[in-house]
Amino acid sequence: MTPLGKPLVFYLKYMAEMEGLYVEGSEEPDLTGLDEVEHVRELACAVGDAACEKMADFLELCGKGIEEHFNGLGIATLTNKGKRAYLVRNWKWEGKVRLSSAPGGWFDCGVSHPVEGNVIPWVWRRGGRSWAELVMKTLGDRAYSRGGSGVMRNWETGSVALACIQVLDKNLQGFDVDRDPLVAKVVGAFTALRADDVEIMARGVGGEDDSPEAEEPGGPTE
Amino acid sequence: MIGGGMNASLSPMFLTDLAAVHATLRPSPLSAAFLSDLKKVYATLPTASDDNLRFLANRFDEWRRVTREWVRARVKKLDKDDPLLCQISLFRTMDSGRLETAHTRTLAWLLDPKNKEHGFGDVLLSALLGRLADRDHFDHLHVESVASEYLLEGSAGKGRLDVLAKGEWESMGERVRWMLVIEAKVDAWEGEGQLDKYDEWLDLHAADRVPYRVFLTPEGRPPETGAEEWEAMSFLELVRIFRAVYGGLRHAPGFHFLRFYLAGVLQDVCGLPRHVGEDAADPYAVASYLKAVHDSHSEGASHDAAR
Repeated sequence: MTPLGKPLVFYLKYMAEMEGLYVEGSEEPDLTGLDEVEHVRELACAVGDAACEKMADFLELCGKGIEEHFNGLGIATLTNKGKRAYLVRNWKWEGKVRLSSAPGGWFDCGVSHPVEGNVIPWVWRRGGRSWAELVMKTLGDRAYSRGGSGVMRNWETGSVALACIQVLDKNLQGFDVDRDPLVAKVVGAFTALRADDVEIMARGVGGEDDSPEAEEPGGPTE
Repeated sequence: MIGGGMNASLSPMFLTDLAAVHATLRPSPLSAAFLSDLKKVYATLPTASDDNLRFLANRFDEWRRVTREWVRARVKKLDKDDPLLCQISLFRTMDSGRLETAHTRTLAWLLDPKNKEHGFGDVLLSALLGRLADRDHFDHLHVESVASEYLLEGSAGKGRLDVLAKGEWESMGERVRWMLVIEAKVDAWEGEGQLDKYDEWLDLHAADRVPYRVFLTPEGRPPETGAEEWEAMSFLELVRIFRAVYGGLRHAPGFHFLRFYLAGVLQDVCGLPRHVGEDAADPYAVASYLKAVHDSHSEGASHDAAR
């Protein structure tokens, strides 16, 4: 077992509290009921900093597996990956899959910032609902949900979740979680995409602006 | 030359002098005393130790318990048809909870007093204008038109105003011709010079009117372009404004449409939980909303009564 890291598990378990006290620029919640506020705030910062590093470790491992998969297909390359500082700051990993055989063939892929205790491996391409429908139809039960519904209700239309991976069991006691099966599930959601799937997804639905540059990637919009 | 390659004509003396100067730029090594002090200070910083995690968990558990209790008591006081208690989102039923055009067209529909289907009259528009014009009420509100996706053409190119309304209001003896423009962004950013384009159009077409410019986004972020007069408004603030007059619309035909719309805005755009009960993941957000709504509801009550 490789621990995900106690500070990260703690953060996810107390997400609302940690986001309120640790994340810069967030609206500070009403502190009624919280004792020793200044000491708590100091500790929350220490835990938050440590959690950021653990999250980046986790995302780096996921990214490595995802990159190996897409590059290994022999028809696409993975580019535009975020650097570690980006992972530490944003808690999400993103990359762009470019089809080698077609210059306009691409889609973005990524691993989300945790949503309601879950991490979500996702894909997105310009093309909105039509593209999302193409992906859902192409992947069948290898896709989980479209943006705008379910756990992805706050996501952009045009994004598709490949899975919804629970990080914390609701009844988890303590702060020990095994990282290895989580990484395997995230990477597994992408390795389920075969070369022919990738080709269809990267080519899109046609008619849209195929330029992959200057695009805002999909994913949660918090 | 700055930052270029080596020039072969540089003299050895120049290079020696350059090396000497460069050496002075290097920071002197940190002293042992400084490093020792730094180590001592570092040792006093809190860490994410097991003890500290347990301490924090206890504090957070208690904080959450107190907040949930407050929310539970406050939620009990809400009317049963309050949008916060409604689990149905108007647009999520079509997987379009954040679809911008769905929101802006609906907003225009709701604001239009000439629309007899909803039966709200000018109540919602009046509440919004009252907030923008800083008026408790209007003695008279005349609305010429409310349009969505209003196509405009100017020297800077074409564009579409999400919502455009115009008319005239009277309050305390003052009479003002106005034009309201709402540009909403849910998941997108402004197009290049988008608001500048709208400003140019407003300068030409609203010269004799007071323009109210609203830039509506989930978080109430300020626009990157456009005149200073664009008012950044969050969707939550919009809900608060409508919520203030919501109770008075209960018997209108469009009431439940409005209820589902506001519930959808709260859940899909503002990120509030669908269930505000015991297990709400973020009771603090619910508490914050309830406090804000209570404040604006109190203001709204007087606004409503004055009508």
